[in-house]
Amino acid sequence: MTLRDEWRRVGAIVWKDLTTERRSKAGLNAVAFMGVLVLLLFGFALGPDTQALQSAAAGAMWLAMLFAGVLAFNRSYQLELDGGALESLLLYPGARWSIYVGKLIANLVFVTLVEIIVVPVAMVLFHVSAPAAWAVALGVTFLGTFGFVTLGTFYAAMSSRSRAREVLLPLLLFPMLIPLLLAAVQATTSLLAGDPMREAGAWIRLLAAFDIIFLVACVFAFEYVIEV
Amino acid sequence: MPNNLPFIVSAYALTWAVLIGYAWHLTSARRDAGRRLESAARESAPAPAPRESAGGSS
Amino acid sequence: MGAIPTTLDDGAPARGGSRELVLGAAAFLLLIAMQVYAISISQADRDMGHLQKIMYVHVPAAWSMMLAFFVVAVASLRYLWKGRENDDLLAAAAAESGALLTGLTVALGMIWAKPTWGIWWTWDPRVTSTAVLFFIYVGYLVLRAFVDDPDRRAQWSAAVGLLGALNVPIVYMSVRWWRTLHQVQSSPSTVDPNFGLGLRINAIAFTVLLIFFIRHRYVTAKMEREAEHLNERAALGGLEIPHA
Repeated sequence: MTLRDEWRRVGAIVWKDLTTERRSKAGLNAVAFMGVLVLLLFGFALGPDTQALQSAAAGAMWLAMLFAGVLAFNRSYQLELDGGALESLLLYPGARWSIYVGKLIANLVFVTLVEIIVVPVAMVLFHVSAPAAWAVALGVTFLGTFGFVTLGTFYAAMSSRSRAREVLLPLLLFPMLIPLLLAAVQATTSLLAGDPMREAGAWIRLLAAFDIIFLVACVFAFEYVIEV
Repeated sequence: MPNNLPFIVSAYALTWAVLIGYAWHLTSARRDAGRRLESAARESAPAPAPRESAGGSS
Repeated sequence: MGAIPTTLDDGAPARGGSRELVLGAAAFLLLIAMQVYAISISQADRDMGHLQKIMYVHVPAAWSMMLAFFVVAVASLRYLWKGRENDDLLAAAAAESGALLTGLTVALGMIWAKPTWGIWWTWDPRVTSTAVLFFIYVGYLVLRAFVDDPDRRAQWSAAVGLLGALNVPIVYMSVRWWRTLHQVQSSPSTVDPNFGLGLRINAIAFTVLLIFFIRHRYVTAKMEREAEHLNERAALGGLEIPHA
């Protein structure tokens, strides 16, 4: 199998997953709703004081995205398992990483769609306006989302096929995401304040390094995880 | 010099409680495993075994 | 750490455990001796009084915890490479001892922090990343508890253990940046020359204890697997089933 064929397989998996998602729609709506709900809860917990809301905005937004996104990953395998489709997917010739990359891209699209709803709501609820360096902020959001989805897709391949999958995925995933959460929140907070200390760059580099390291590790390890 | 004795004593007490407790837990788990292995060996090997069985000499 | 599995493999008789009893008793006696010695040779610190004696249990616990997780990482890697069940059981045994020692390290750190800094918890890089490490390996152990199929459990936990080990330096780096960009928590330096010696000899005692724990747990796990194999064989009516 050539690399070109593998990428065609990746494309087919992405297409299949997104089509299923588009046909049901319930998943996207529910997950986005969950994200907005978490934001609202943070707003109530932190009080109506504008100053307090603004300083907590980046943290609340990222936590809302993590709590909502984690619901999406188990779903992406659950649909396969319900129909017994994972076995037939594994029967096709070709490398296993193409399954992982396909799922990863589909989940990335899904979570990005959720963020398109959650981020503007967060900005309204927490009284923050778009930073001057909005393109950099978008880049931070993408890098954070990418790392989150990379690990989420990988751990969901295990948790969705185990007992107690609802509790296992966050328990495995969230401790691993602490560097990513730190970097994303610090970079976002700094950018929202106009990056006065010039510290966003260091955090963005950390995010990029995190993404690359775990993308490589997950692609390598996925083969062992999906086989059994 | 401040009196920190309660902290020191509690640190050492905690350490010993955890270490002894875990050693105790491991030993009892091992005893259970040994018992289970013995009964499994007895059930799986009723066939004539002239030599002494793998680990089932009670 | 290649030496540990080979010493663990030899013998491992189904019954007995008298060797473990000797090793365990020796480890605990060594720990008593080292603690008494270290406490007796160390002087009271100018600033902290006798408080730094907590370090004789805190620091060795932290070192042996790192050693345990190093064993987890190496055994997990070797499992993925060679696919032998023993490596999986070794990784699990080391992870259990490591998680226990990590919890102990964090608790002792809190007991030390309260009289020193006046607070139970500080967002210090080492404290925080140790707590994160604790959660990563609790996740590892929970995964093992929730997966019943042995092959699946072994493959998955090896992957989780490796990714967890990969994350440890990243967590530490990120927390350190996070703290230093805001404020630096200076930890008081120690001046007693006997202090280093006391730490080292206690670390030796903890390491022996760790070997005892891992070996004890490993032999138990092997016996459990052996019992399962025998039960499977009995259920299949004496048919030989190949297993790795």
